Amino acid sequence: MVKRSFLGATVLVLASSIFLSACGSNNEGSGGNASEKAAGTNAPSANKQVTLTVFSHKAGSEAGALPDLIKKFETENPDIKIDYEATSTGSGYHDALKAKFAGGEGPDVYMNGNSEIEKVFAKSGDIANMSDRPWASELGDAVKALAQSTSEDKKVYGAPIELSGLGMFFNTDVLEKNGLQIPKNWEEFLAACEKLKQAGVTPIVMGNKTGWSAAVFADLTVFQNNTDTTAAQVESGELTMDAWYGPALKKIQQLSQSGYINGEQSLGMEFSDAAISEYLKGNSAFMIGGTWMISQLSQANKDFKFVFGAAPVNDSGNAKVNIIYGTGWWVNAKSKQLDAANTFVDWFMKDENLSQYVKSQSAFSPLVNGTSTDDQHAAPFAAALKNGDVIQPYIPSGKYNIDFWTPETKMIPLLIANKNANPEDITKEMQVARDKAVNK
Amino acid sequence: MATSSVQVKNRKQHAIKFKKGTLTYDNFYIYLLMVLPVLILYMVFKIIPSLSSFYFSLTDFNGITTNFTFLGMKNYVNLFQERHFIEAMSNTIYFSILVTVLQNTLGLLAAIGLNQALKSKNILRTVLFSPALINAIVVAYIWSYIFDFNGPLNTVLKKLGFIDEMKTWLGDESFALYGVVIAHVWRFIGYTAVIYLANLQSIPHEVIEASEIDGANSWKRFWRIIFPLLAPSTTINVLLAFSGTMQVFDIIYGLTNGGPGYSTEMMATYIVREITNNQVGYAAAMGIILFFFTLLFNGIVYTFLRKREANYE
Repeated sequence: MVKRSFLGATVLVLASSIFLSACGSNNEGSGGNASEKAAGTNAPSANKQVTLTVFSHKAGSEAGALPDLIKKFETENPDIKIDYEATSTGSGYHDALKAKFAGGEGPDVYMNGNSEIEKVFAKSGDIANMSDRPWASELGDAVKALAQSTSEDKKVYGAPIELSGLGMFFNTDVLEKNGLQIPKNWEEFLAACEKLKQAGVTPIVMGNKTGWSAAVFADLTVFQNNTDTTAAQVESGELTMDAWYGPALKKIQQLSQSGYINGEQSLGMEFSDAAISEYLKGNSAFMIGGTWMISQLSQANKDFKFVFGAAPVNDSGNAKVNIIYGTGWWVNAKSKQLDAANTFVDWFMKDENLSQYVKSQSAFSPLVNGTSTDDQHAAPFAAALKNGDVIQPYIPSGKYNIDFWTPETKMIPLLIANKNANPEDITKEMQVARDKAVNK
Repeated sequence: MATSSVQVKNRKQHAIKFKKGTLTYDNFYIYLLMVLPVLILYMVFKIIPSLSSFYFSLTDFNGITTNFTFLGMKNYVNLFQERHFIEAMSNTIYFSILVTVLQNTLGLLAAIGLNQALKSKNILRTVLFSPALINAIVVAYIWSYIFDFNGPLNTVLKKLGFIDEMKTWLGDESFALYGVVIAHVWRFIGYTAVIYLANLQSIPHEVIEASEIDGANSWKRFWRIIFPLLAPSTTINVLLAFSGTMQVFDIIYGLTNGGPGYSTEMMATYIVREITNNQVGYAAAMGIILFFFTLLFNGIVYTFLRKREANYE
């Protein structure tokens, strides 16, 4: 009896601990603080070839022009050989990256977005400050602001190599059939929605299973109409969430209550698949999305007539697009081939090389006079980018890790579906998120 | 405390058996040697991470750098002040109870059905068990399609006149949790039934025949004879269902991602969200709470079921 009880108790503990060990297994550190020792710099000499390890998340077809560019670089720089290793983000790229740095075997150059990892690496001195590199002065203002958000001291640590963007898809066929042009501001947008609704068309399609469309729509609306918002105002509490997001959420509520959005239906759709399928049916005019979805739409239906541009949620002035730091090159500050690493990144950032990569990714160049994708579906987006009609999004100071995304993606879809939520509830949740991080 | 001469003799015999140097099946060390590889793996991948998890729960560890601060019990104090974490806890308990009850009730009924002398019983057993072999994410896709706005559930219900308008079932806060329960139970009903079936087949025919001769009707036979004799499989099924659902993640992630709102948010999905937000120390504290919760609830259930088993032994 005692044996059985012991056995039972053991089974209980084991069964209960499954999740616990999972929590503790993610305990690989990055190697701690910056080492005081100076990073060795072996300049590539004419006689000795150095091997540069480059770690990337662009594997297989995702790599686009990268393999060709690496060959080109090696031809033009015979002293440097590139040892390219790639793992897709879905296959644990970030974990592998952290583990490499933790084990003191960080690659000389690696690819990543401007994520929390880079913020930590910048603080610990694991990645090199590239503010003085020649290409840094050629970054557009909005791009530079994004690039500088890695650290509190506003230095450029990474070289952004592709920009993607957020905005709105316009079904030009549906708009034309209903005698409408692409709306340029909130007023025109509302009028178009009403006309489309009267014609039996669902004006806006969203995919809110994970709340993505709803949160992005709210952010676009907020940032187009609050140009002077600074992280300091939000973090100090000078700007309350209600004052910041309240007006935009009321606009969303207005759209929802007027029946302009596929409200409850959007809760069962993901923005990246079901919402696209719904939009491709051609029964709606507008869809919130990103530049990477352009190829998805055109590949799914070559005859589908659409363009991608700024969401017309602006009260006045020109509608603006939101750019995203797609991905970039980061140099390991403790690399023994620091000069070679810088040579590689500087070479890559030249428009003649960068444009090949950017085009292969259907993306946009981070350089002011850089060459971007020539896909005509993206023409309105490219024009806005060229005109400087670019949103200055909220860039956290880096002092706190405020999670606005969770309350946004959880609550705004409910507002859109006319469910148990109102703008005040949502801003209250966002305030809790801000307070939780700041008062931690 | 006098030791009897018989006890001393037994100990001496064991001492001879456990003698080092000879690795025979009578030797304790051969078994220790056999268990050792598993024990080492278990220590490395389970015990050490679990203990380190407890340590990290007292820090602000972000999962990236080892440069973290010791916070004491602050993470624990903070998480119990978090409304949505409490909501996730209550959702998890509610989900676990619902799934455990439904899975066992339906699994037992299925097992009784499959225990009959049917020609197609082997095919039926295979069909019933097959969902347990499907990956949770695939199950989530299947049920997402069923519950979809344009899915078969709406089509059937509308044709039968039960609903006037198509509905996004998983977008309904009051239904979403039940939707996930249905998908989860569907997946594991065959698994539960197979365990009950094995137990049913071990009940001696003589016992059933004797009750028939004594004039017991079908219901009495089931309730007074069969069900009590199923106590061992009930204990296993209930414990497996309960401990599994307390830590449910994959099917929630695939079906609703914890939404709409927080209506299907579970402790495990909450923990993963905090980890992805680089709040690993905070998430570890939640993991510890989940561990003790699972242990406590399973302990209560186990104690109750063991007592019940003992009554029928």
